[in-house]
Amino acid sequence: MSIAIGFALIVFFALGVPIAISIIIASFIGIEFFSNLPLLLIAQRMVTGINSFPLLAIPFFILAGNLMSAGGISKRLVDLAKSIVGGFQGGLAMSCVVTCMMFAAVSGSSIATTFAIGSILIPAMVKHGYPRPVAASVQASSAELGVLIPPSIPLILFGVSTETSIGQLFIAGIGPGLLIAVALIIFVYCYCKIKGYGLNDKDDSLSFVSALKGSLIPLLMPVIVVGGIYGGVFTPTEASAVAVVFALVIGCFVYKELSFKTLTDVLKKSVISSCTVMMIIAAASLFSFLLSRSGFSADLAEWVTETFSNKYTFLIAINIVLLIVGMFVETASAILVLAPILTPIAIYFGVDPVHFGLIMVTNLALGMFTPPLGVNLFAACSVAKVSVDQILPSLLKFVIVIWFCLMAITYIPSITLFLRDAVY
Amino acid sequence: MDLFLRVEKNITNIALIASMIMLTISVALGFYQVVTRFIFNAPSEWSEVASISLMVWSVFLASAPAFKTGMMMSVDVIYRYVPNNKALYLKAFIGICCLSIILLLIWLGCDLAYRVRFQMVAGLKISMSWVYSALPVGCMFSFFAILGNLVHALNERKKPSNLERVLL
Repeated sequence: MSIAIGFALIVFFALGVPIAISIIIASFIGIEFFSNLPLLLIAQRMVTGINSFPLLAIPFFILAGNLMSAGGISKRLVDLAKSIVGGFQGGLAMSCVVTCMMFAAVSGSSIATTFAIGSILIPAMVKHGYPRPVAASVQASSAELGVLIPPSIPLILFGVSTETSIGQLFIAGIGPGLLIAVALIIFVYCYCKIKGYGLNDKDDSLSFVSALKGSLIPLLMPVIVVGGIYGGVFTPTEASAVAVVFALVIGCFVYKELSFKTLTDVLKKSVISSCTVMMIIAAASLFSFLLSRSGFSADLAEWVTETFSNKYTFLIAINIVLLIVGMFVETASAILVLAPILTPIAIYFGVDPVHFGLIMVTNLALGMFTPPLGVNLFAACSVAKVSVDQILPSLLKFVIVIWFCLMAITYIPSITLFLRDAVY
Repeated sequence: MDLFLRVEKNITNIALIASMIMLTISVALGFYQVVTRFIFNAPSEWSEVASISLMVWSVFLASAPAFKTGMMMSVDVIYRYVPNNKALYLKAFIGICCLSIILLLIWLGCDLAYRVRFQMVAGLKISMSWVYSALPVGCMFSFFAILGNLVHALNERKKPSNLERVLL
């Protein structure tokens, strides 16, 4: 059964059938032709798959991020980032990395980060003489931070699908997020120095105190969310509901940029974005059940444990497989299908599940800005008005930087686990 | 066809508005839960279940506008390699795949909602059918949205081909 449903899944994916529908078709084929299970299982698993309290955090964080974005936070965060790193050559490009890092802390989605920050900073970089492909590459790679720094939707998905603590995953994401941010800032600085980009960026430097005053309130959100979770005040889902109310209050009463029309647009965007992720979760819940029922997960685990002699060879294989998967399959679906299969194997090899979650998310997120299927890449290209082919030469350098970071995250567990171990 | 597209647009808008209202109430209930527990020290017993159930409804209702706007995630690399004049055939194939699965889900969803009618949702004291009905109802809205997309794609073409004549 597992071969048939795997083959059907690949065929329908390749034909461009929506991912959720492809998964249901593959599962239907498996149930109808290769098992004695009732078809009713499809409907039952699809509803129970999303009927879960931890998963509510996904639509709530999407809504909170969209409210923050529409409520005027993006411009203020850009100003703060410019006041911190804007005084150097290449300051604008470095501001892009810093802003993405801060925006990631108020939004759980990297694509939201790309649009919100890219629409402000890419035109500004182009105006300052950066080539469009370079500006788009900086933005596309910086958006990777959106999925690592809490709150993060892929980390919630990993937590739910493997029953790993979302709170621990969130705090563990801070180390890898900071590593990638620092690596990108250093790389961007050196790159701009060598190529001579951003010579006039210093002119745009702003006062840190006034920029901080403007963005202090939105920056309280990560403090409330992360602090609330670790202080035991609320669960990640409740934190996401608090985040929505907080974003609403800021947008309506502090910055006064959220009108009724904007609010309806934000709600519309949020329900559609949430639906696209949640439908995949519903379908993947069915698929995972079938895979474990068919014995595929157990067979794969047996094969992997026999083939790889230690955890390092296993992790190298995981890095390569996830890089390829990430290039073709959307992150949420890849996590939902692969995490329940791979995590028990990783635990068998002695890898901490929280560490493995961060390896998996960082690895798959690399695929979000690599062709042929990089959502952040397409988003950055559309904002920068360049084609994917034009961006590739400059993008490759950023991919290499993130790949080195991924290697460090994979083989130095303390980068991920030091904060978790300090808190828990 | 224009009349169908107008009706379909209204049906999809109803699903979208209902989904937006359900998301809003779901968030409000999530916040209410925090307030009752930490401010009033009297945790609410029903708000968590109600919030989840409303989110299930919101997700399935939003599938109609998601299909309509082409936001359902897919691996669309194939479009780069398919010539423009053949892309319509591919779109028709994808549309038919989606419609078939949606019809299957309507049938299975109705069956399931009927079977669980005597089970109660913990904390809410209502039938489980209210939660499970979200799947067939959401899929009914999606059915019109996908059909509308298909009709719209075929209408866009000036000269109808054999495939279009068959489909229309």
